[in-house]
Amino acid sequence: MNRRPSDEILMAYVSGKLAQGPALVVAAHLSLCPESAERVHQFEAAGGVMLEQAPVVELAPDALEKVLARLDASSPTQVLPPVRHLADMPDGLVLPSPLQQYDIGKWKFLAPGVQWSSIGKGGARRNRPMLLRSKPGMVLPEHTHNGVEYTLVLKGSLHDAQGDYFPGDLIVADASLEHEPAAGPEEECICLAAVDGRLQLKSLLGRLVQPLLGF
Amino acid sequence: MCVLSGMNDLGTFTLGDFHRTWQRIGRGLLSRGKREPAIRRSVPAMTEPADYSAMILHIAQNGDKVAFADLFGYYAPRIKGFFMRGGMAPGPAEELAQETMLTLWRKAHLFDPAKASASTWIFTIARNLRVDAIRRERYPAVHLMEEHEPEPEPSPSDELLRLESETRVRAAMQKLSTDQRNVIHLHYFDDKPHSEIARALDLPLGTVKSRLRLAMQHLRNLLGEE
Repeated sequence: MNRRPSDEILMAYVSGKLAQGPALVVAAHLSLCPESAERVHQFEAAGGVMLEQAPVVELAPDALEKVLARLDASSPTQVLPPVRHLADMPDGLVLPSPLQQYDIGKWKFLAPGVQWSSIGKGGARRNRPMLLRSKPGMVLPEHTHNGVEYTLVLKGSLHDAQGDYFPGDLIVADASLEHEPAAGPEEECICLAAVDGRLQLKSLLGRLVQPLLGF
Repeated sequence: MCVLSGMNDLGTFTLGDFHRTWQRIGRGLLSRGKREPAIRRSVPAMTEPADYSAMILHIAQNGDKVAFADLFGYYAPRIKGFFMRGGMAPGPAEELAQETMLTLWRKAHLFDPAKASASTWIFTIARNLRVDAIRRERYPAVHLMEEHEPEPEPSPSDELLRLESETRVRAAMQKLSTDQRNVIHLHYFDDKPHSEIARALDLPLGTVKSRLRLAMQHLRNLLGEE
């Protein structure tokens, strides 16, 4: 358990190996953590070196002509559908910039004192990231995972047996951990979470809400 | 800042010189690698190492097609090779390499030499397009593609710091053994499962995993703990 993702996770993010949901959580973490952002930059530079060292495979003889001909064509103006943010946020909370391109659904009941909201539409449902909003002191539903769970604190704090986590901190919990974080007593907690692998909510309540989550 | 004023004291050693020297050093290091192919260009080779960052800036400022052709000559065949190494068939790799270069043209105004070298920036374009093509969804990694305020004037000190940092990464990559560099490339950049790497390298699965762990540990030590 760590406040920053391991180099292995950051390298997976840089190389494009990380699933969509976890990649979004890491991207949001990078916008809040200069140390991780610098490490990612170093790994991207390593990617640049890998690109320079890639085998040289000649393109079709007319490839340059074809691309040159397309340069002047007005680039297809990507009409992206307007992004909808339906979940209200407490005053003063600015969502990290990578999140702002995604639809964010309404807050929905997950457990007493805990709400969740889905992020985005595309991708495999089980990898889809979500926002969790917990009243002060509430324990997030107990669960175990077959995969790795990524949780980024955006507001308030989270506490578990391993430590205390504050805005910008990323908790990566792998399958070996039974992970039962609680929000700090001082204020509500909002975090961004995604699972790489199948999430199994363990409690009775968890089993009840599982179909809603679609995991 | 002190680096910069030191350079000014030398009088004749300009930022451009530094950049070219750095590129020469970088290329010299790379050319020792056994797979480094000859540089092929679509335009006559220049007498000095090319400044690819400046070419991207020329595209952003003047829509410079000569600069684009030069970048294409160097990068497009490497991008295609990079995609094919990652398991893509020649046809799609060719198409995606062309798309990468087209994206470079269209996004050139977002390139900031203080944030990344040309190769680093182009790598992130290629990486995003590859993920988007394979998964049909947009990879969230965008920070080098974000709009940035145009600098009132270029900030050479930031660019120097960035170049220094990238030079350190180049040196670190060079200090990894060929085996270590290779296993990082196969596992991360080529996205090969451990079992496939074990078959390809004719090694037990356990050896692949421990080599990967040691390679990342070595890289971490070389780059310095964060």
